[in-house]
Amino acid sequence: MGASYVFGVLPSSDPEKLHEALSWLSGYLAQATGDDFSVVVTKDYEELMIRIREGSVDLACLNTVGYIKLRRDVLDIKYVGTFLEKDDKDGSMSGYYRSYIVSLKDRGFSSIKDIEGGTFAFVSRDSTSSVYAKQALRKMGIDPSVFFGKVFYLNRHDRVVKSLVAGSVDAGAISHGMYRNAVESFGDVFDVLVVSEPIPHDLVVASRSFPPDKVELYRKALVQLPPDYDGFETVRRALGWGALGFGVFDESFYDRAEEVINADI
Amino acid sequence: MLISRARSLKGGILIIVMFSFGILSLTYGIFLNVIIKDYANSRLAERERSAELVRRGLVHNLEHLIQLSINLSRPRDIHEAIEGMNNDALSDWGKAFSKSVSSILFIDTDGTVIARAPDEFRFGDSVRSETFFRGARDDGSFSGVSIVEGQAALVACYPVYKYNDTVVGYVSIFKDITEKFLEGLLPEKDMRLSFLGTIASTSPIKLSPSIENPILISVADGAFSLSFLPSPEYLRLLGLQGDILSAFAVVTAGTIILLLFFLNRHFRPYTEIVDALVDYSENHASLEELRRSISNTHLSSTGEICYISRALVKMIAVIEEKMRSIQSYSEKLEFLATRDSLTELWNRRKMDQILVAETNVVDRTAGDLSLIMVDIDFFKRVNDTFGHESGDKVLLSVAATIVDSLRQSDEVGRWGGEEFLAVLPDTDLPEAFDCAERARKAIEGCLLDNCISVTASFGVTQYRPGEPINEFVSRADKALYLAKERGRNMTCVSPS
Repeated sequence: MGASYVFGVLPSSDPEKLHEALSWLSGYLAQATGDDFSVVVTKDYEELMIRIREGSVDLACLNTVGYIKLRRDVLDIKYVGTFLEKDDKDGSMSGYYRSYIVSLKDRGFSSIKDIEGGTFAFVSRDSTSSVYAKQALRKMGIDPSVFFGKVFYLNRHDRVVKSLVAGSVDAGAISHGMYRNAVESFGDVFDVLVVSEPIPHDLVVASRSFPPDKVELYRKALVQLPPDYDGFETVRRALGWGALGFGVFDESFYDRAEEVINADI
Repeated sequence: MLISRARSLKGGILIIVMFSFGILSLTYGIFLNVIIKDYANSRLAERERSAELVRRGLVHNLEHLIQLSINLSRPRDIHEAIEGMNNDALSDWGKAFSKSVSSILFIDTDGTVIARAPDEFRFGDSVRSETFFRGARDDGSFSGVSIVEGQAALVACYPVYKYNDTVVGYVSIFKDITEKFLEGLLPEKDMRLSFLGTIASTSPIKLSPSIENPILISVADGAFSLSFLPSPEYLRLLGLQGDILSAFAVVTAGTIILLLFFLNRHFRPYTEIVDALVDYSENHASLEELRRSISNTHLSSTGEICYISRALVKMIAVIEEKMRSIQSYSEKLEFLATRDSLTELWNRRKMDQILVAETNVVDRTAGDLSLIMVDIDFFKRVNDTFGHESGDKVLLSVAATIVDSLRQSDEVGRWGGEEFLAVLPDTDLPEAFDCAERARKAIEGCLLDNCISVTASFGVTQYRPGEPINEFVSRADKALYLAKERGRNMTCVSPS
């Protein structure tokens, strides 16, 4: 009889879909390790941080921003592994994805400059996609807080897409996986106005409540996941991520991300 | 008297019957009207109670919105979410509280909607110009009726404070004024509540308190109309009232028709007699026609009127007889008064009247009028020679000859012993002369008893309009005298 652990997930998309998409992961780990898991989709980033700090979540699937902050604030977290995705260009397995700034085609914006004074939606201030989107805008000399009339934070990628489709905002920043998902759902109705630089993918970490001696066991279990594992298809269908496996990188993999995130702060 | 009596009797009977029916109808009408009025008053009181319940329901709903908006303005999460433009967090709050309301809006200080529940993906629009937002921004809060995007709603808008003194945004809560919502406020099924508009946009309507009129309810700048379906009991009462009135109308009309038929049948002979008498009295009918009319009535009637008409017929027959006697006497008297007893020509008195009449005609019409005066020559000698009886025969013969010689329109009379006067209307002097000559020659050629022949002298003149009659006659007399002087048996003319 194995131990029971809580698997925390960031609410980066529809909680039900997140729960469905990541239940397979806890199921796989349970099968691989003999431990028992329950999945918790937290209310927001703050809740997940707090729960990792206090140890009410043992393992967590989180984004790069969360990881950078945790790495800085909570010394005893342990990196387990990063999602890998097939690169759209060369088909290789990669630990990166990108953030897209998109608008509806029928709005007729040919450039982000056309949206000056308009409305814009980010996922959240702690969303890596949002941070990288802001960084891309800054590179173009655009300060979103000044350039746009109103900037909304919608907490989830799918809510950004739905708000775009509803016409409530002129443009929004989402992950390219969510973009693919949106095109599948709503058709080719979006224009991609800006593409960010590569963003380290979401990752799995262990909190201080998780036994350190099990980290390597779990890391191996994740790395051994085959790309054709059914769970990845569930993730792709539910969340639009093209995740096909897990990789393990050293600390420097997140250095550039830290720079970008610090610049945003 | 008979006329007025017959007609007033008929009219009197009609009036009495109509009056009775009128009183009866009025009594029933008043009685029923009192019942209906009592019922209407109780309905009015009931309507007022219902209106008060509806008004309280509206106020209660508005107070609920106000309380909810105050409650939602307090949590720290909400003011932080508004400050952070966190649509998702605000949508969650909105969804959690929007079950009992139509929608909840979280608005920043510029009037931009940050989040809307339950329509969570519609935001970013501006409500800056909406009444509720301006009210909350300018007056500290708003509660009332507002029309947003064409939908009327009860609205409560309350500011969200940071540090209890800095407004960071607004919570606005709506309860749409829909048919269903209004239906839910009704205490009974037999009424209907409708929204008329905001008081500012609605023309003032004054309705008198009546069972038919809706009741106007004003709540928080909103005007509502509470109308009531017709009560079945009230409709039944009105129907009963209508039925009774119709029945009375039918019975009254039937009674009047039957009564008129009866009265007409009974009074027709009287009316016929009265009409015949009136016609006779106004000279529109003769006594014979009166008798014939009453005889017809007598033949076609029975009973009292039969006796009356028979008596009247007999009375008329007596009158007719008397009238005929009077007429006969009258004619005889007139003959004696106007005719010469021997010749039966007009006497002098009548000739005077004829002269007056004919000269008046000529004075009016400026026509012609001539006069012939005749005198038998040597008449004394006839009397002396043949006796008075022969003299009378001569007079008769001369008179007849003159009449035969003149025209039918000419008037001939005995003027004196053996003198005759003829008045010739429409005759000038030459024509009169010709007439006189014709008569003279006829007399000259006449032989009585194979041995008596006479001649006559003629004086002729023409009337001068306006002259006195005696002068007119005198000139004829002078012409006659001239004929006598010149040898008799001739006609002399006095110039006109």
